Amino acid sequence: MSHDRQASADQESPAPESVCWHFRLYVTGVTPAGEAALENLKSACDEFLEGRYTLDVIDLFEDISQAEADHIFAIPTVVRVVPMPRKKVIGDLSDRVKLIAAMGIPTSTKRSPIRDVGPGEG
Amino acid sequence: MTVPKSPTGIAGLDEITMGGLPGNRATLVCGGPGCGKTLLSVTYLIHGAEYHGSPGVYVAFEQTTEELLEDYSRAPFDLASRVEANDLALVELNLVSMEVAEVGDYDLNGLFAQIDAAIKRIGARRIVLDSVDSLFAGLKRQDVVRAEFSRLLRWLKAKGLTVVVTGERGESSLTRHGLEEYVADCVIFLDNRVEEQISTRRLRIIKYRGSAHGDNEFPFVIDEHGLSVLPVTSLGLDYSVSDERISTGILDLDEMLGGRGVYRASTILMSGSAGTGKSSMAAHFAMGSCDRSERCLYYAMEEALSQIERNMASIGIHLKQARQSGLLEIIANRPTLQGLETHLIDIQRRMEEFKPDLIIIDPVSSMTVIGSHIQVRAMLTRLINFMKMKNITVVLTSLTGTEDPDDTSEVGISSLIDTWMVLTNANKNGRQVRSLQIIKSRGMAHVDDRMLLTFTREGLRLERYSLPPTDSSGSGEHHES
Repeated sequence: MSHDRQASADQESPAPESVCWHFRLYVTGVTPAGEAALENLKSACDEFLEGRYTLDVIDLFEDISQAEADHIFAIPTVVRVVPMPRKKVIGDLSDRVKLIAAMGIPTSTKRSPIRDVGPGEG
Repeated sequence: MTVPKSPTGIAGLDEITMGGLPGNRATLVCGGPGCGKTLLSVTYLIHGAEYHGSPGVYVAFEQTTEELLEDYSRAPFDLASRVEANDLALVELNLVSMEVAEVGDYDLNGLFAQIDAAIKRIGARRIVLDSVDSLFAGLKRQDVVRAEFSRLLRWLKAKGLTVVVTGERGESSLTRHGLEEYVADCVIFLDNRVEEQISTRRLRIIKYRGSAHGDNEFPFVIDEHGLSVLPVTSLGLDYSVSDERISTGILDLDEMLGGRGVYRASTILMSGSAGTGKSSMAAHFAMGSCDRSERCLYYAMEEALSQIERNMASIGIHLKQARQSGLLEIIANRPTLQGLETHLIDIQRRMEEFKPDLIIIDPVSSMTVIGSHIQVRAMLTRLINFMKMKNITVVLTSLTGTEDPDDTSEVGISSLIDTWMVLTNANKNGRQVRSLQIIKSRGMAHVDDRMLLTFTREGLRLERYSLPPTDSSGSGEHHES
């Protein structure tokens, strides 16, 4: 079973940016790196993709089939499923700037991506 | 103490490793691109699944499952049916299909989890990691990859699996990523080099902890049967020597050889220039074998089957009937079509199938077209050893450029020969005069005079020169030495 932690997507602004992003985060049980990756990902998404992303956390110990399909070898790994093309980032995502760049998350003009990492809002 | 062995099923490799790869250990198979690493690995897994009740996991870091199933879709390498039978599992971990960014710390537990699931699913005893180079090349954190790779090997061994790791050869080290530092139990190096436009494959066991092994370079071939390493059998000289004598198929020649012909399982060489009657003599040997209701394998390296049959029929040797009786098999095969090792393997394979009592290679000298003299000599030494062990009599012909008997050293095999006859052909007053002389015949009294060789409708005849003198005659004469 995978823990679905979904942030609702209301599609309030019908613009190109209205696409609902989808991520899969792969972990193995509960590990410090896995927990950190989850926190860091949610924090970044909540800031820049608020209300328009979904995130599945998949534990390889419980479900291996999706990991096989995604060729998961490193833990933690986050896969950007939507929008295409897929992107893969491995690591605890502790570097927020690198994470945002690697995932191609659009940062709004008002907010700087380099602000302090706060606890996730979700 | 010797380690338990995990057989590969690869002809020859299990012999030089004295039984196979080290069981419950890791073996590194390294070499350049296209050297046969994947084929060796796949063979190992399929053999384990098929013959040793040892299911195996194949972890593909470079190829896709589809590519593998396509490449190995025909017997004896039918991956799909093994996967279906649940004694082989494919794990595809393509690191290059998607760009991977590294942000912060990670480990390779995803790899562990996938391998673990596959091992549990089929109860694996063997595993292949092919090739881990992409793991090292694809990730920036080399410290993490090295630590995790080392942990992976320990973990797999602790689970009781025998591991094969493949790696690309390096410029200054054995492998590009120094895998030999981690896989310390056994290292096999594969090499594929092209010499004079003929590709030669070589295998060498660089290291085998806790076991004796052949440490030379061994030639190997890849053909439709897979990978075969030479020698296919052991290297020893300890075969039993036969006292039994068999006919050469030529009564006069039997007479010259103490009246009883040659020893069974001995090696006979007939050398001479073109048109001296080497093939005709070989054909007599073949018929002599068939007359004893024994099986003969005739390798014709220069002539087509129909041509040989027609030519021999003219001197009363009917090879076609002999073939139809099932006692004679003729293989007409031009040497240049294949490399030297391929020939040797082919000969050995046919011998295993046909189980001949006599084998003829006519002419063996044509092999020098495809290999250096040293290589040909080494190959023949192995071949002759192999045949002696199987109690097979070997008849070789050798084409020499001149009438000089020593010219046979062009093949350099005289020391391997038990009975050596030199055939000559001289033009005397517009007549072709052929002669035969026994240079040596180990372990028996023999006539060493030069004899007149004539072709009749009933085959070859040998007689002393003195009878119908065409010219200056006499025993032991030498026309043009």
